[in-house]
Amino acid sequence: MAIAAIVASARVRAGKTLLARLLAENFLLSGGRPMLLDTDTTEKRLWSYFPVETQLLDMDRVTDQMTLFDMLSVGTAEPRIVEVAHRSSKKFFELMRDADYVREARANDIEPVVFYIPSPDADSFEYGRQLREQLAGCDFVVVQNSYLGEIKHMTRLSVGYRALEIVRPRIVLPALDPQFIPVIDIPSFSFREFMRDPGTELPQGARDTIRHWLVSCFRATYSAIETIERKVASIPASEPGNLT
Amino acid sequence: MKPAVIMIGADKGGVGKTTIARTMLDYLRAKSMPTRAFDAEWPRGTLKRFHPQSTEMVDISQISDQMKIIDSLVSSGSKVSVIDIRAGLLSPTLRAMEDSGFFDAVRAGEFNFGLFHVIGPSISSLEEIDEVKPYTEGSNYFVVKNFINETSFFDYDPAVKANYFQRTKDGIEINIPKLTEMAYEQVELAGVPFSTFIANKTMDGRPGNYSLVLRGYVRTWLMQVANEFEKAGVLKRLAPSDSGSATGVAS
Repeated sequence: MAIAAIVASARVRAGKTLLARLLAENFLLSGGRPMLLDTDTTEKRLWSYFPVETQLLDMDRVTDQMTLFDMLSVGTAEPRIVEVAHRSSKKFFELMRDADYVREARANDIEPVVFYIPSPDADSFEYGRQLREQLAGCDFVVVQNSYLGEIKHMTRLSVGYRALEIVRPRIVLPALDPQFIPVIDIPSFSFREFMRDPGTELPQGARDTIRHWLVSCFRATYSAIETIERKVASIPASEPGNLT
Repeated sequence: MKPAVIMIGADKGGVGKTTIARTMLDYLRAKSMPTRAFDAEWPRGTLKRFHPQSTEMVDISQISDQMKIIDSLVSSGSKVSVIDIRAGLLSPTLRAMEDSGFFDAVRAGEFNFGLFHVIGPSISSLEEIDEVKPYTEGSNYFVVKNFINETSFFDYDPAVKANYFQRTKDGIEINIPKLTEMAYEQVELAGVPFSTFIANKTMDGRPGNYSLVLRGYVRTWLMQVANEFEKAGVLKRLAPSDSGSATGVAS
């Protein structure tokens, strides 16, 4: 069974590329060779970090839509990660539903998992709630990106928040000290390489802070992936179901 | 239940009448309605290519073929007979059917009859409406606007548009949405019914290798077409005792 990670959010700058990178590096660290798909043909952020492994696809083109879903459902053992650009989100999820992608993927031993990153506002949680409902039966992981700030009291009272609050597994990404963001944003910055050898270019304090943050992020993503893999493995092939 | 005859035609070619006939066969199959079809594109028909099992070629200008269709309406066991009329022959076919007494039988209540008149965005299509009108009184006249080419149907000219709608006001309007060209082409290449394409099967039932995305487009489109047929009450009007309520599209 291979995972097809679909990284999405309701807002721009929610941390999709960061999560896609973490997932990709997690798979690479485990010896996997993930297929990476970036639907943001304007900013090409995921592609900028993995120019060799990433395929850029324009969701406005039918041929690219075909390539994307073919790659997401092809029955090979490689994990795959797609970063769904904000502007492509509607089209992507409509196609996913209309093409009955989840069923097709599972028939090919691929487990699709939506990693949804809500922003702290109620509308964002509501969008996630509706998305999860629309994709009933598809595994859904809520990713709380602490960098986006505190969730307001009023948001916590919303239907969307309450619906997503109980979804498991859940990933909480700790916030990195903003002064180090430019460091990890450099396209040549590899998380796994930094974990192996943080080098000496940064001061010891900075290296420790980034390393500590990375360990927490890797732990959180690894734990979620492991939970999904374990649960999928425990479900008989005839009855694939939602994990939540 | 009385047998029903669905005639699909247009005097103008290229308006997509065989596409409508194909969707109709998929719709009726999804509704588990025993159906047979006649392809009047003699000698080589497109409908026959996509639905070879249930379709027979006929030359509707020949009395023997008219007999083949009409005389076997009850005995065939099929509740619905779909006839895809050859382009340009709608009016002559209707005249021939009138001469054969078919419309007398319809008026006498022996059969249910539905005419699906596929309209194009041209003045000649407007003229066609006047020509077929005498045969539509007391029957189910469906005016099918096929948006397959993103046709505007005179939106640019309010006077012509008003005239158009005036002429079609007695008809039950059916709007066929556009299907993405690439998806349409792939189904053409596959040479299978739309529902078979959606199910990713070849004509002989083996697993197909059609694009997941294109299957998704076809599924959504076919569902929209089925919804249009439902909205127009096609089965309720033509096969009242056998029509289900749910929209059926094979998956």
